[in-house]
Amino acid sequence: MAASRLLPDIVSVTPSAYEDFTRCPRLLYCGTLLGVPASDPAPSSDHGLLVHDMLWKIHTSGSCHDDAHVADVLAAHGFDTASVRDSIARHARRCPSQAAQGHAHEHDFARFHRAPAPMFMATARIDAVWVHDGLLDARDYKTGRRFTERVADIAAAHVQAFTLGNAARARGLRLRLRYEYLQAEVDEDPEPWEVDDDTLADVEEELRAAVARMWEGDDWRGVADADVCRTCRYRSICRDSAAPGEPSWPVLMESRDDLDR
Amino acid sequence: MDGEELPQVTPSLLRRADDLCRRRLAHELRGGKRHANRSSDMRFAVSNRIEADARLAQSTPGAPEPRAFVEPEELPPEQRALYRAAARGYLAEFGASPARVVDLGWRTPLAALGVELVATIGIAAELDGGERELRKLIVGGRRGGRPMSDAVDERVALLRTEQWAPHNLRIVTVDVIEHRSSVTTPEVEPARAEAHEWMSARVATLLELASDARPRAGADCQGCAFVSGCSAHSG
Repeated sequence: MAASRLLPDIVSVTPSAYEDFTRCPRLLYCGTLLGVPASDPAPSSDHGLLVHDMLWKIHTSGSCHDDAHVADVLAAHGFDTASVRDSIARHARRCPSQAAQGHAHEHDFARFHRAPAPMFMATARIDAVWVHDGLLDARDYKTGRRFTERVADIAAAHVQAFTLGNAARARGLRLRLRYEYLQAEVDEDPEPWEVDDDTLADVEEELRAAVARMWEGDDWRGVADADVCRTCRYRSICRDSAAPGEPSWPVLMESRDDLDR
Repeated sequence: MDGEELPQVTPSLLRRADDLCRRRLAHELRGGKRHANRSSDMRFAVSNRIEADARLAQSTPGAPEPRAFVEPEELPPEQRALYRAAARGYLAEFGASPARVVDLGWRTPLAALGVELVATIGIAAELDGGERELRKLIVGGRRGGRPMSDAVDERVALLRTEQWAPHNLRIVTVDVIEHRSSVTTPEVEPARAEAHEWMSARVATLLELASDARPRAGADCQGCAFVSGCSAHSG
């Protein structure tokens, strides 16, 4: 498949797309580039989306430190459950809102890389951004498992940092990116990432090089690693799957032979 | 604007215009994509192919001819798997429905509003009894709970089928992968009158918003075909 049919002149780079690409190039290929809907179940994101939504509503109409306000917002939306209350309370213990001079929630950032080639457009939706103590303090709320000790090691965070970099620089602020884990099972957040200009330049080059690899790739070979494939949303239909399973599509092929035809 | 082309109004613009970057909105309305950054089209390979083959399968009166669904060997294996599932899904839904498919094209000029309505509204089928049926296909990927279609889809369908289906229209929306469907049978005359009124107001809003044309960097930059020359990304 020619890259020119798969990739636009300006390649879109989002945190999830880059995370997919670093996990397995064929994951990006199947999902973002070919538009194939997931053939296998993935963990439900309903609770996470709900908590994100409630935090946005709580902060835009009051404070997460105001117990009565939190209770009102949750009750008004019919989500006053112990699980959601606990997640909000854990967030409040880390929320910098009381010291912040400014904030934004569910805000979209975009940054264009023009040269050297290839061009790409990075975009990211950031859950919350606080301005305090000379910092642009960006938060990504998490409700799943913690996979790493440092935000700096997370591929998606590199795209987030790149898109936030200009906003921080324009305001003369240091950029800090923190992943805030809201469920009881995670005791400690990964180490936040303070991103200086030199690091941002390295990140830009890293993303540029990744996009260059996308243009060079004509086979989009999957990693074929059972540990990676086991939870992949394309594991049953992927050409290179090391963990083929039963697809969740109600109608599909009868056998792998049929697929490989 | 490209030559004498009318501004192009799409369902996506009708839905998203209020929140869309004004500069992108203005360019999308002008339809000037031949001067734009090239976008990729592989995401639509299966949905375009399944719709084309479904048209071919009923190009003459009768039930759809399964042999018209020829697996596209040029596509990668994952898209071929999707194509096979979609073809079976289509035949499961419409395989026993004798009809003749006609081509309504992609666009309908709305002369009174000075715009062109551009939309793929689905497969236009003339049933044996003379009824008009619009088959809108979804090839999976919709989150559970999200409606199959909305009021914008219905209004656009009513306006684009005004000549073809003046008296009756049945709109069948089918997810050929997930096997979900919804059927609406609007009361054509009052629904179409309402659609005209709504479209008139909506187009006025779109044109007013587009006259601003200020760029705003954000999520709309993703997939924007008009980055070249955008002051939001000049640095």
